[in-house]
Amino acid sequence: MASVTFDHVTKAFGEVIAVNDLSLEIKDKEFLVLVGPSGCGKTTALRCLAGLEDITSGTISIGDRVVNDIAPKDRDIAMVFQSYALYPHMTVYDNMAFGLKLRKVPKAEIDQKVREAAGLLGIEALLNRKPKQLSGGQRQRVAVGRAIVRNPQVFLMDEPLSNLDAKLRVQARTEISRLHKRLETTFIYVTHDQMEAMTMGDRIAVMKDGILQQLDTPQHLYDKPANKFVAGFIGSPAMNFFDVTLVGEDGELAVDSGTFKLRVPPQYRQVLANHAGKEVVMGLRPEDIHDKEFMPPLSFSARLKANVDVTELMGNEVFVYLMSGENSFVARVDPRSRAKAGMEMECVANMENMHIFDKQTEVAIV
Amino acid sequence: MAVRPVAADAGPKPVFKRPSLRERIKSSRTAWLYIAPAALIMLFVTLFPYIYQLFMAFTDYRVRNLRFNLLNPETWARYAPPFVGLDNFVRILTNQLTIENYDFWRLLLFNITWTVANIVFHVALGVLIALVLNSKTVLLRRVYRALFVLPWAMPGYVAALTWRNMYDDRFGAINQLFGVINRLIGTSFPTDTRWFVISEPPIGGLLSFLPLAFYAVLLANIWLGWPFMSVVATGALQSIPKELYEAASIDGASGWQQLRKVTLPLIRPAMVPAIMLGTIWTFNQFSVIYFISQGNPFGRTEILITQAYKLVAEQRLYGVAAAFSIVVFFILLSFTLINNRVTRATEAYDV
Amino acid sequence: MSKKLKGVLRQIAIQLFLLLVTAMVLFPILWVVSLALDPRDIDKPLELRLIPPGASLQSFRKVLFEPFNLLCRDPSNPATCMKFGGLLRNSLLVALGTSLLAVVLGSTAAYAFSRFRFIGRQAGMLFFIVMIMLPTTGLLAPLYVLLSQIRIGSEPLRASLFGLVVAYSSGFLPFAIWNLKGYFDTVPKELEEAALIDGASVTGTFVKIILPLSVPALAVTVLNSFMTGWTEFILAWTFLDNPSRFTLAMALRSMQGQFATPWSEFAAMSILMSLPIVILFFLLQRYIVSGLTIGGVKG
Repeated sequence: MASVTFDHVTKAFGEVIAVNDLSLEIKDKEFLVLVGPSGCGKTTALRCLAGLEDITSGTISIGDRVVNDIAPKDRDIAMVFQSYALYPHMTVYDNMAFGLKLRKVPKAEIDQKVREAAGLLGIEALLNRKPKQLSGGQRQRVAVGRAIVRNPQVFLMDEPLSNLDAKLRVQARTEISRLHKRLETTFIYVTHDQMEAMTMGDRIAVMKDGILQQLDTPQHLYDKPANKFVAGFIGSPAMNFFDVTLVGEDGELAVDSGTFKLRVPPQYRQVLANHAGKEVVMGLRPEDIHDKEFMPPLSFSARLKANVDVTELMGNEVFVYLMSGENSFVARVDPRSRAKAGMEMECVANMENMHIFDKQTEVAIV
Repeated sequence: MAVRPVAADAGPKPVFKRPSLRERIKSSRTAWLYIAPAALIMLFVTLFPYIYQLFMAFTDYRVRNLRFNLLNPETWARYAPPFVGLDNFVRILTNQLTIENYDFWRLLLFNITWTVANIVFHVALGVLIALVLNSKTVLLRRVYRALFVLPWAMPGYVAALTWRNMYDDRFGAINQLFGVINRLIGTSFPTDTRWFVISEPPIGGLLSFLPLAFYAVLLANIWLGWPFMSVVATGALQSIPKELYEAASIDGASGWQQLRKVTLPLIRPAMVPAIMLGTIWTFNQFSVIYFISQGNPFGRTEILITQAYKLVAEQRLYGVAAAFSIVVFFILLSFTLINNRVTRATEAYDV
Repeated sequence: MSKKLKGVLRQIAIQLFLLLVTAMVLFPILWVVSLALDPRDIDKPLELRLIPPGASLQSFRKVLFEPFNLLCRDPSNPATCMKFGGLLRNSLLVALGTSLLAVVLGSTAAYAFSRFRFIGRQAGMLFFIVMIMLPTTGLLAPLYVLLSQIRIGSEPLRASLFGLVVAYSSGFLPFAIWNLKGYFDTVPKELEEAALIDGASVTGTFVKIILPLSVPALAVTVLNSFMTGWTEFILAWTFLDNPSRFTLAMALRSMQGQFATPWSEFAAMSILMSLPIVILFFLLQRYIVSGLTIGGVKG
C-alpha cells in the first residue's frame, strides 16, 4: 500500500515524445484511471512506472522511494497486461504461482495464496488448465489472479478489459471495482474507454499527446472540463460544440451562431464580458437540450429551432440528431417526443450548464 | 480538486537527449555477456579462418605453405606464400586453371540449372502430393504421410552413398530394375548403362550441355528434396480456413478455380521462405554431387562447391580454392539480395 | 454416373498414384534392407529381390562385432582395428558435443540479438548472414593450420574429437543463431515483461519463458547439429590421424571402395547409421517445420 508520484516525468522514443512532463500524485489506496485516445502516452506512463521503460527525465516514486533505477521486480508492483501475457506453457496454477516461486515463498504458502486468489475470482476449477483452453473472460481473471497473489503495493492494469465482449466488460468492470475495495490497494488503470474511466475511477487523469489534460474526480471532470478536448472526450454521446460569437445586447450577453441566438445566464456574464465580440466555442451536452414539449423546469433556458436529421429511440430516451445552419448536434430528449426526421423541432437549451472555450487555446472560459 | 487547465496542444518541448556513450555501453554489457561464449568460439574457429582465407586468396598458397605460421617468425622467410594479387581471381574467371575440364562459366550455368530444375520438381511434386493427401476422403493418408517423410528423415550423407551404389553399372539397383521391367513387359531397355561415364547428352538442342549423369543425380536429389516441400505445403494447406472454400463454391468456383484462386495464393506465403531455404540448400548440395556423380563425366556435373572442395582436397591449390570460395560467396550474396526483394514483395496475406 | 461410383473411381485413381509414389520413396530403402538381410554376404548383388533367400541378420552381426580392417593403426594386426562400439562412441561424442555447444551458445547469443538493443547488434546480424553464405569448403586449409597450432597435451587440437566438435559447432552457429533469433522474435514481449514484474531476472526470463516457448526452433537446432556431427565426414577424414578416434561416418565412407564394395555390410551400416537420425526426426517432427520456417527466414 503506497502512494505513487510522477514528478515532471518525460519519456521520449527517439524524436517522439510519448510522455511529456507528467506530474501526477496518486494517493494511497486510490483507484486512478489514466484515460485518453490511443497514442496519448497513458500506456507508456504506466510502463515507466512498472519499470519496463526507462524514463528520459523526471522522477517516479512509489511511497517514499524513488524507483527510477530500480528493476521492475523490486518495485513491489503487479501488472495486468492488455493481452494478459499468460505464460502459454504453464497451467493456470503455475501462472499464478510463478512470481511467488521466484521469490522463494514456501510451497505451502504459495498453495494457500493461489487457492485463495482463485477462490476470490471463481477460477478454482481452472487451475490445472493451460491458457489456451480458457475463454477470454477466464484468461482475464487468471491475469488478475496472477497479480493479486503477490499482494503488491500497487496494481497496474493496462486495458485489461479491451479484449472482452461488451457484456462481459460491464460485468468485469464491477468485479474489478469490488476487488479494489476488498484489497485496499492503490490501483492504476489505463483505458481508452471513458465509460470505464467514469464508472471505476476515484479520480481520472485525462491525457492527450503525452500531456496531462486534467486530473479530477469523474463528476468534476464531467461538469467542469478544463478544455475542449476533455469536454469532448468524457461523456457519451459526446458534448456538442458550436462555433459562435459572443455578442453584447442591452447589457445582456448572448451567443450567436448565425442561425440562432441564445442568451447567457447572468452568473457567467462577468467572466465573459471581456470576450464580447469574439469568436468562441460553445459546448452543450446532449442532455442539456430538450424538446420544448417535454422540458423539465429550468431556471435559465434558451430556445432554438433546428431540423431533425435522424432519431434513435433508446427506450428510455431518444437521441435526436439536429442541424441548424452549419452546426449539427445531438439532443437527448424525452421518449415521448414526437420529433421525426425531416421536421423542424423546437428545442430548449439549459444554458446554466453551458461551456465556453477559447477558440485558439481551447481552454475553458466557463 | 486540483484543476489544471491545459491547452490541448501546448506544452513545453523537452530537449531530446540521446543516451550517452557510457550509458549505451552499460546497457550493452548484458547483451555482450550473452553473446560472448558464441562470439569467442566463432572468432577463433570461424572468423579467423575466414580472414586467413581472404589472405590466402591473394597468394599462391600450396602444400609447402601449410607450414607457414603467423606466430612463428622463423617460418616467414621459408614458407610465406608469394603474393599474387588478383591473379587467382583472374585465372578462375578466365579458365586458366591448370586442372582438367575446368570452365567457370559452364560450372556456374550448370549450378544454376541444377538448382532451378531441382526446385521446380521439389515444389511441384511436394505441393501436388500435399494436395492429394489433404483430401479427407483419401484412405490411409496418415500412413502415406509417415512414409513420405522418410527421404527427408534419412541422413543426406547415407542417402547419397546409397544412391551412388544404386547407380552402379553392374550391381546397382537401377540397372537391375530395368532388367526386371524388361522381363515383365518384354521391353528391351539397356541394363548395363554406365550412368556417369556416358557423355552423349540424352536430350539435344538447348539442353545438350546436360549429360545423362545430370538426370541421374537430379532424380536422386528429387527423391531427397520433395518431402520437405510437401510437409511445408501440408502445414499451409491445413491452415486455410474451410469457410474460404465454402465461400468460393457459393461464388460458383469450380474445383480447379478454387485451387488456382484460393489454395495456391494462400499457401504461397508459406512456400516462399521454404523455397528460399531449399534454393540455398540445393545450390550448395555437396553430398549428392560429390558422392554420386563425383562431377563425372569430365567435370560436366560438377557444381561450384564440389569444385572448390576438389581444389583443396585433390589439387592442393589452397590459394585458388580460397579465391574460389570468395567468388561463390558473392554469387550467393547477389542471389540472396534478389531473393530478399522477392520475399518482401510477397508478404503474408492476413487470413 | 452416380456420385458414389465417381467417388470410388476417384479413390482408386488416387490410391494408384499414391502407391506409385510409395514405391519410388521406398525403393532405395527396401533395396538397402534387402542387401543387408542377404545371408551370403555378397559382393555382387545381381538381382533385385525384396527378401533374399535365407534372410538373416548376419551382416549386422558382422558390422557390429567384427573389426573394420580398413580402420587400423597397424593394418597387419586386426587387434588394432576399430570396432563398431568404438566408432559409435566417437560418433556419439562428436554429435552430442556439437549439438550441446550449438544449443547452449546459439540460444544465448540469439537471445541477446533478439531482445537487446546494443552496440554492435547490426554488425553482428550482418556478420551472421555473411557467414551463412560463405562456403565452408575453403576453410579446410586455414582451419587445419589453425587447429594444428593449438595443442592439448602432446597432440594438436585438430586431431582430437573435441577439435571436431569445436569446428562443427562453430560452423553451425551462424545458422543456429539466425534461426533461433527469428523464432525468439515471435515470442510476445509482454510475456517477458510479465515475468520481469513477477520477479524474474533477465536470465530467469530467458530460461523459464523464452526457451520453453521456443521448443520448435531448439528442436531444429538439436537435430541439425546432431546430424552434422553424426554424418560429417570431410573434416573428420582430413583432421583425424588416429584410427581410434574415427567415426561411423568415416567407416561408412571407407566401405565405398573404388572397385569392391562389401554390399551387405555397407547396407547394414547404412541402416544402423540412419536409425538414430530417423528416430530423432520422427520424435521431433511436429516441431521441425515451424522451427525452420518461422525462425529461419522471417528473422
